[in-house]
Amino acid sequence: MTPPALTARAMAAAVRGGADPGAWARAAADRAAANPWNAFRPFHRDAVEAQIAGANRAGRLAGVPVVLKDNLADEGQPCGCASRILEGYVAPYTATCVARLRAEGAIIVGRSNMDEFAMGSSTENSAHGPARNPLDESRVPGGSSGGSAAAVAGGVVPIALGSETGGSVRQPASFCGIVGLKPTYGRISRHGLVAFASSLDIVSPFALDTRDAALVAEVMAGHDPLDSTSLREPVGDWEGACDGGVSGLRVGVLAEGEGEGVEPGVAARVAEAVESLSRQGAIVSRVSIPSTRLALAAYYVIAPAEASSNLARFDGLRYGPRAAASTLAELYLRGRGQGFGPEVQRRILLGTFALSAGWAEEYYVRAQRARARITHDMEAALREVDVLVSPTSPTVAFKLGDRAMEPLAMYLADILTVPASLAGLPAVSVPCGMSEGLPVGLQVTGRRNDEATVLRVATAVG
Amino acid sequence: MRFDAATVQELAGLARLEVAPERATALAGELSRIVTYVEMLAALEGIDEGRPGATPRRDDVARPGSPSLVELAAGRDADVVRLPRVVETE
Repeated sequence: MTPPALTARAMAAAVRGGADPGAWARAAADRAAANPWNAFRPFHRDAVEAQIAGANRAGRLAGVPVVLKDNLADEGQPCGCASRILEGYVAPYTATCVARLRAEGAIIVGRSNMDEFAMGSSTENSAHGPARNPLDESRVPGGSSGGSAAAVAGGVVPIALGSETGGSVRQPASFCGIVGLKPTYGRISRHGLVAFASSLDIVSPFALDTRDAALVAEVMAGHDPLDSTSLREPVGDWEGACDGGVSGLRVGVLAEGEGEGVEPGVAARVAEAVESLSRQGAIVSRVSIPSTRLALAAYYVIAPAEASSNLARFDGLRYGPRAAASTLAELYLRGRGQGFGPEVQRRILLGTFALSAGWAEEYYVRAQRARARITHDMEAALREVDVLVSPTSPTVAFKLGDRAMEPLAMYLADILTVPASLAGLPAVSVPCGMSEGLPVGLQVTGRRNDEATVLRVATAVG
Repeated sequence: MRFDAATVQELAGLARLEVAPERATALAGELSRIVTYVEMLAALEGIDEGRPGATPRRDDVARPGSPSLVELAAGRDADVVRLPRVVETE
């Protein structure tokens, strides 16, 4: 593994000072094109030179190479969501978050492998084969944004974008020893992000440190009229907030994050990080939110239900393998049956069931009521403390294939990240040491629209 | 809730997915285990109130469409999209 040389801030400062704005981008594009760790997807390289020529050399991200998850639209580039059903699709427009990065001088140099339609926790559900963890190639990088995490952890780029629905950036950040920041739901426009579960989806960055993550999220955040759920609240100085320190802040250690399934090495590193925060002046207490134990169950009703609706638009007519059929109904059945992979089909069926006549009340409506309860309880807890902390994942990165055969075992990888997703709260995963030679991530969750405090605490850990 | 292959095929029909018979049997087991896990929700006293701040709405005002989306079509006739014929007429 190549250690990452420079942060995005250092690169941009050099370019603003007169350095060649294309040097890092060209080198990164070459490395991405070689597809290390199977972390990348096809990308039209011609676009790099055009971006360098037109780059904003005075921007906050001047000359910074960035990799995009394969579910973010960038005009003229493939956008396949690691699915056969979108083979051949080229995006006809650019996502708002990508346009905002470019306006500050960033240069898009590649696209990353992912779990098909962002459904998974290991990047093993890609139609193009699994991505591997650059720190140990026998292990998964996490998922669903595993390719983007590998791109940053492997030193190809200092910044990569992923998307979160239930932890798809925080969990791979934890597995790869980098920072993953999920802002408050609605902070970053979903315009140009292929929908999975619209009430949960949010674009989220990976970075080498919290300041870079804050900078990139700040650039992307802010109201966008093209996303009906985009927040109008002012964004603030997130990068500057990182330096605030934790003296006097109230840190709640989530009791439900200490339970069964958390590896001893993970628990030990998290306890040490909490101890460090305490030494720096934070007021540490233990907080129990029993309803969060049911978050994963609610998530695996709500997310598949929304996915079954969102993915109904993929009819297999224009893109992907065209099935032989004699009627239109047969064409849809075959095209979708051949175009979607096993996990996507499983979730579509689960969602179809949860919304079906006779069962919706027992499953979908109950899950929505649970979501409201979890949100209410987390917000109540966050009136008593400023942030909640827990492990990001109960385990370190697992071996390729270890959980691929049992869907429920794979889903349990998200058990500590889904509460903040359901509640729409900002949360970050920051490295807090190693266990068995692999990185451990600490998750910091904060109040709605209070990314600044989350970043203050995470920076003090890092 | 226990699923069997017939229930899976019924759901697959609703979801417009062709599922092979042997796959339907495997899916029945997988879905049964997931749904059994999900049934722990029955233990929770849920609440009906909305999620604060979670779904801000924009004004429902029509905007001009994007012509580039129509340009994606394999074949077109002015603003009408042409697709390959799927049902042969006699």
